[in-house]
Amino acid sequence: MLGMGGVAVAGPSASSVNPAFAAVPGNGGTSLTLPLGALSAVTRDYWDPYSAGFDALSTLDQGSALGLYLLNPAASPDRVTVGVDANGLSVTFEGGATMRLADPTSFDGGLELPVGGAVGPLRFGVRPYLTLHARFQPGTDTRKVFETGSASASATLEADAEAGVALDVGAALPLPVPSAVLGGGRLYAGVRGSAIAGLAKASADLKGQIQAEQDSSGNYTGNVLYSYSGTLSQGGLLNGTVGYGAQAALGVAATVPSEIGTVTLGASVRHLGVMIWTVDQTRVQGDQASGSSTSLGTSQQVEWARHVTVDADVALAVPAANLGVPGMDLLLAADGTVDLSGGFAAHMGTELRFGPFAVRAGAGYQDGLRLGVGAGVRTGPVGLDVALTSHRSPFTDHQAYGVAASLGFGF
Amino acid sequence: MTQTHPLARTLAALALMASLALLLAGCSRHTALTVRADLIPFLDSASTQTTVPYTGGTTTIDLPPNSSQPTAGTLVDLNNVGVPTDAIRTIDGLALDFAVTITPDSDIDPGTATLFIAPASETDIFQSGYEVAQVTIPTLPATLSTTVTGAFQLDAQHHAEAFTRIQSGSFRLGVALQASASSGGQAQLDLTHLEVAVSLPPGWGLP
Repeated sequence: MLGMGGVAVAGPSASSVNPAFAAVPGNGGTSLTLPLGALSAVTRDYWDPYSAGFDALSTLDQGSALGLYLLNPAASPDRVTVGVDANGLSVTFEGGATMRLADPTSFDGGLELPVGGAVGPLRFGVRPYLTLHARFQPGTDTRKVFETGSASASATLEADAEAGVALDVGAALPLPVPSAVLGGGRLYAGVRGSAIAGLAKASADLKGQIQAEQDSSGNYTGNVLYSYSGTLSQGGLLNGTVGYGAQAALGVAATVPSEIGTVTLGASVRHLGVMIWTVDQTRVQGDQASGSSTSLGTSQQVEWARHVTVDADVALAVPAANLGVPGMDLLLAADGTVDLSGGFAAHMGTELRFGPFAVRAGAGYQDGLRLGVGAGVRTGPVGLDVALTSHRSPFTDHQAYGVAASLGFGF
Repeated sequence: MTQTHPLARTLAALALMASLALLLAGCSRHTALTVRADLIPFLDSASTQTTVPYTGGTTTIDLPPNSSQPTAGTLVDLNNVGVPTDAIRTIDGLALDFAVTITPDSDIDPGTATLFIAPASETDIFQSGYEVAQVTIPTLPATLSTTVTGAFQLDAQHHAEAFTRIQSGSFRLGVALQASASSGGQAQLDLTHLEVAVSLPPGWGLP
């Protein structure tokens, strides 16, 4: 739900997180996050390498958060100073975002535009998607480069971007549970299968190293050397092919009534599956003197579940009668997600709803601190939600603020 | 050979720059780069601590003193300090800071310190054609140690000829101290600080 710090709220609108939520009463309908970030391609010039405003860091920040129109994307420093002295190498930055390169960091971004409907317990949908993943791993001595200096530093980066269209078929049903087990609550199970057409894929697996050269006696020669090597891959329409694959998601959820309100618990596993791409691979390597790229040819690449995630959710819905404020309902929610390939996220948020209006706030950790405030209105079967959110920009301590909007249908 | 699609190249370029993380930070039209080298740790003691003779009257003390012999301290090879070859041609600033402790046998009046920048192949760097900047130095009392400091700031606009040499990637640096001595003698020199910084303008390395 927009403006709640990224928390998933149990209900059909969050069935993409937990397929069992499709059967849980609550936030219904379909929510479509508008790709406001794409507007920056025409309103801002940091995307264009040939423009006076080009900024790779801003591009990366906005490009990994297309659901937001960033008001203050991270800006590159005004000056980078590379120092060479008795301690080896050092790097300092002036101006721009505070760079955060001494520690491992990652970012995950992307956008899904799901459209679908339900027939009884079955849900059908079409889900165009774009995903971005990156993991930056500095070497053990790299921290010193940004502090006292170091004789050498290295870093690895894994990055991949993928775009495609998924055809989803899911089912969610309440399971028969003796009323004494959940205190009169209900248990739900859901499953979703997806057939995926992969339209584009690009990935990079790279290592870079920089070193202050030392002679046989261990004395610095004054030379600074750097080198890089790695593999680049591209598939899908980028090389005239189409990838294909299948994914599955499983989930369970339970609603438990309490004196305060209804507690909803959920757990799910997502992104189980395989994608098969026909990719062109290129080996790149170089150093301060020269660089080269060599084609490794075309091959079939089978990727088994690269980003399997396990999610857990909890929510408490307090109706107006228990809240003591006529016409006002309260919702509290929290969730956690573990990416089995590395990384985790946690969010919590709240919503106050009064009639057709709602206000929301939340906070979370997902590649850095996330904050959000938002509001929504529903009229008939259509709803509009807007939010002001913030996240930590990749590779920096910069907190970027952005505007997001979503349309809801069929509550 | 398989052609790489522009989108893949763009991602690859971003990823590559991220793996060389400081380059990512530097990849914008408003980001300048400075490469700053403290040369003292890389010089042998013969280049930093020595005794040189001087004459009475107007006299000149060259730093480094053995100017006819190329040394690591005067041969600055930017290719070897990691500045990409293409970027060297865009260098637009050079700063040189030095500190030298001088102990002369006789009183030396206030004078000047002159910076010379010569091609890497030049054996005599203290020629008038290579003179680029000058600062003043204080009185040097006899038998006392006086630390002389100097800071030179050069830019491509005002020092075009010197920058042609700098932008070639390899060049030699020297500083000549010129003053009037009350009588001839020897001076103990101890070069305690020598730092060179070259600057590349915002947008360096971008097409």
